[in-house]
Amino acid sequence: MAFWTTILLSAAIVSIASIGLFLHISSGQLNPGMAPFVGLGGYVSGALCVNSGLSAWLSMPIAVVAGFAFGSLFAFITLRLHHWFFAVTTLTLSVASVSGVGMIDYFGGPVGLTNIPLATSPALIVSAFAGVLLVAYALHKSSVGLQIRAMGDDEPLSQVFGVHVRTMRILVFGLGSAMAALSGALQAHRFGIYEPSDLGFMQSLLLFIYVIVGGKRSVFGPVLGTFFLFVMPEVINISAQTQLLVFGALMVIVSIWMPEGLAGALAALWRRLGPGRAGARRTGRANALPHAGAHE
Amino acid sequence: MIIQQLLSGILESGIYALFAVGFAMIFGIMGVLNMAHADFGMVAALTVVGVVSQGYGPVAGVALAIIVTIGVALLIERVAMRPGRRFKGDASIEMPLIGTLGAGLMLQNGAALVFGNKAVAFPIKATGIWRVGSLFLTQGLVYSMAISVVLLVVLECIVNLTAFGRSMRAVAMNPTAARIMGIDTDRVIVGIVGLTAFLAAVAGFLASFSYGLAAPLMGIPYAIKGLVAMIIGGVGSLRGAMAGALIIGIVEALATNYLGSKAQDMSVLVVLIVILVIWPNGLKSIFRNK
Repeated sequence: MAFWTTILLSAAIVSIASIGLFLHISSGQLNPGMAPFVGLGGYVSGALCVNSGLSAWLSMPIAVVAGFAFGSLFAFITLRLHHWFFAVTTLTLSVASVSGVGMIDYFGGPVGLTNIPLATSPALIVSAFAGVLLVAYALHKSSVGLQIRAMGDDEPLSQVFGVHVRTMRILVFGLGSAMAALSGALQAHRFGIYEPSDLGFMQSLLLFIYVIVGGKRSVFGPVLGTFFLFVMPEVINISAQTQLLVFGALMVIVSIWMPEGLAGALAALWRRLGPGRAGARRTGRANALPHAGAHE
Repeated sequence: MIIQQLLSGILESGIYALFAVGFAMIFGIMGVLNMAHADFGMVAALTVVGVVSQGYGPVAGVALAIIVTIGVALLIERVAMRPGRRFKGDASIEMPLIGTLGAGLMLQNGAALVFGNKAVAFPIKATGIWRVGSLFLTQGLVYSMAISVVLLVVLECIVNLTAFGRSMRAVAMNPTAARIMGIDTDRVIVGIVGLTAFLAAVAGFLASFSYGLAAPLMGIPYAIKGLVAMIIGGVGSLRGAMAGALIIGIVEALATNYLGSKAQDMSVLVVLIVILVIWPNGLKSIFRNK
């Protein structure tokens, strides 16, 4: 029982970062290099406690603000980059930050931070997770969320309809990065250590997989993806290597058959088989056709 | 000292150029960012290790590795790129990117299951050092620079002078018009995938040959540097990709010299951002304006 609680709490912490990544992706900023933004939170919060003697209750909010500032700054610098340009830039950031953070003595150099005060309780994790989910859901359903999605689908067109694309890109990326930083800070104060490798390619790729496999059209996609991919390897009990092999296969499957991810596939299934939907079946089937209405 | 660093940077860039040109060809012609491209080099290098450990000679290993790599590349094109390209708009780039990222992850971890997740010794290597005057040259890097230059010249000739190259350029410009003119676009794409897989395989051999090691994760740094070189050169342009690789090699060497080896990856990021902020379409826009 305790084992499953640990797994589910880990999944909840990582979900916070996946929701942030979901915000980035839904605004059209394909970001396969999320780990440095998570790591920023962990490092700032951890270093403020270890090296400056702040209390964790003060350092965690500072880390979230720092995440917002760094994310907005990054988005501002890369404002002119789109699609694959942006994707390669964030991926490079992720690879470069591993050795980059190793050069900063305040962050513990290549060894990383140890003896970070433990402050993360299950109640804190659950309330942070619920809070972030609520914020993201409210944002997604609001008119601002509509603008974000319009921007993600077609940036020039959304600009024609009056979306302030530049401001919106910077703010959304900042907000997503702030969520990532919160996730990183919770992580750092949960186990008491934070290492440069937490910022690397594999960590970034894992977050990207959680969101893509979960589905990037609704807030529940990344949460579903993270929990599914945390629990599934434990249930069928496979080694870390095989697990990554399976994740890779899932990515290929998503790219072939389910561009909406698990959440999209479940929604389509529900529309087909849902109870009391006989009258609505025809429209339901039309929606359930692969990729209909998804990317037009 | 500075000449030494510049020279090793330039020599190193040969391998980067081979990867960058592969990325650029696939992107220019198919509009797909093949994230598994550098892992083809890893597959080739580890196949050689596997074949030689079974008691065959290195030449047989290299020949077999090239065949295996091209086979793997064609399979990945069929499974992870072609299905995603049928989507419209941004998704036609996004879905193959996701698919090939997944395929690359499968290759890396499949290789790690077979060979163990650690570096293994490469059977043929040239890790020795030549001394020319006051300069030190790593033998493997000199060989790889020479082989890269020959291959890139041959590639330029194929693209510019042969019938296959002409149909390739036609498909890159406009696939629909190319098909109307009677070009079998699917065959051209298969040819491109085979050709780029061959380039990746050679680059993988050269990387292992120069450092004497092969590992399941060896493709990742080359993927990043190849992609960055392609993007700063201008997406889809072959000469741009080569120029980009040269810049990456030199900047890395200078950063290592002045800031220490940990600054290497950071310098690549800085170059990428600076060049893209000044020329959002890469260096090819400088040449085009003239």
